[in-house]
Amino acid sequence: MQKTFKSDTCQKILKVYVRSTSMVCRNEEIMKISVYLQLDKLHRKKLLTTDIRNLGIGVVGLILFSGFILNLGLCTIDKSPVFVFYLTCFIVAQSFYISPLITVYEERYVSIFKKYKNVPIDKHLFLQSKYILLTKFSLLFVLPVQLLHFAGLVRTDTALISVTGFWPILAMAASLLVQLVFVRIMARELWR
Amino acid sequence: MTEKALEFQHVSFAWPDFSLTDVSFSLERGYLMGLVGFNGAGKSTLFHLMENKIRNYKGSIFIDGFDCRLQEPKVKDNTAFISDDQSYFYEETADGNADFLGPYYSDWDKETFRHYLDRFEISRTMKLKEYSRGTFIKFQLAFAIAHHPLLYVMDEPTAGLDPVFRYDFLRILQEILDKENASVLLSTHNTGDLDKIADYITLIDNGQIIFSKDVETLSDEFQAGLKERERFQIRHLFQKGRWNVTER
Repeated sequence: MQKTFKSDTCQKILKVYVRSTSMVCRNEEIMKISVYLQLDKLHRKKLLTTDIRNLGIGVVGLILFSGFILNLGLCTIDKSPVFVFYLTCFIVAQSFYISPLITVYEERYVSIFKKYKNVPIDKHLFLQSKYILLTKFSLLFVLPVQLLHFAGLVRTDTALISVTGFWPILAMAASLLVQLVFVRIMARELWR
Repeated sequence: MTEKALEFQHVSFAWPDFSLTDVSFSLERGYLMGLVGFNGAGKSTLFHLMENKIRNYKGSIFIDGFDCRLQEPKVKDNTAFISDDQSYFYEETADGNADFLGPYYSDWDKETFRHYLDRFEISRTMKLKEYSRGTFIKFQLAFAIAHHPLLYVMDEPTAGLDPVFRYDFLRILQEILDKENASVLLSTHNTGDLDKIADYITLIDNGQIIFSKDVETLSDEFQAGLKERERFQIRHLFQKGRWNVTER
């Protein structure tokens, strides 16, 4: 069936789709997942609650920075509570980011597919796009925190190449694992 | 591509207190079939099977030649389900829902969607949860038309709608049949609606198809006298008290 997307927002998606289908590509799934990723991004941007959730992520960033300043002042950047602090902040930030894509406001814990039950989606690709977006967000979020952490360790004369040197990345990996399990629970009907 | 928009092949399904038994019927493209039966006869269960809400049934259901269970995305792309219990983003507006769900369809047309929203006088800025039942059905119809399905499956769409919109609704269905060569499976208790537009009538009772015939044949048969088997089945229903004429 010929694709005839006509709305403004869909034109971008169509371009991605047409470009990808016209390419001689090894893996057809890669082409399709790009469309799913675009749709997820559009979805997130257009939600009425997006601004509140973005604000939430901003607040977490601010708390992280405040925590960094505080620990820097007290020279406690290499103490173990900092790891827990990072972990908590990352889990909250990731939740703010991913929740619009996997939950719906009126029914928080229903399956991720409930609102799409009569929509022609490939459930596996639909889920993969969520994983990719979450991972991308996590990597972008952890980088500045990691750099600040290194700066803090230098200030407290702690070795950078040690476990304490990679606490932000370790905390992000742990929180990512928690989120992936949560996404998997929200997509439970795929595993039944 | 097949000429059959919908085909049930020996579908059976059992719950502890209800069962569908050997349901077989088909609907050709471009026609409207009315599905009639009492409450609890199995109409909504048939729709649930088509929607894949229930998967553990025997037999097969094909929509436009695609198996409902095995080729779900293709089936959903070619089918529009309209009923009270459809899932949308109720905290979002009509436009929001169109943006979130529409692009997943291969033939989505937002301009058509907006055109029908205006025609049905539906607010684009109201959240779906604020819609009345009638407005929600109108919204679903606009959404369905915008993705150009080959089959419309409607469960009691005209119940609770005002007469003016009902008239308009039937006219739109006629347009769909004429212009888009789509088919409609319409479940309703309002047989007056079916008199006007149905090409086929399927009667279901107690999980069994009593008959599935075109309106002309049905009319002829009723005029000439019912066939023996159907006469027996309808007499049986009378005896069970399910078709008590004096009460209804």
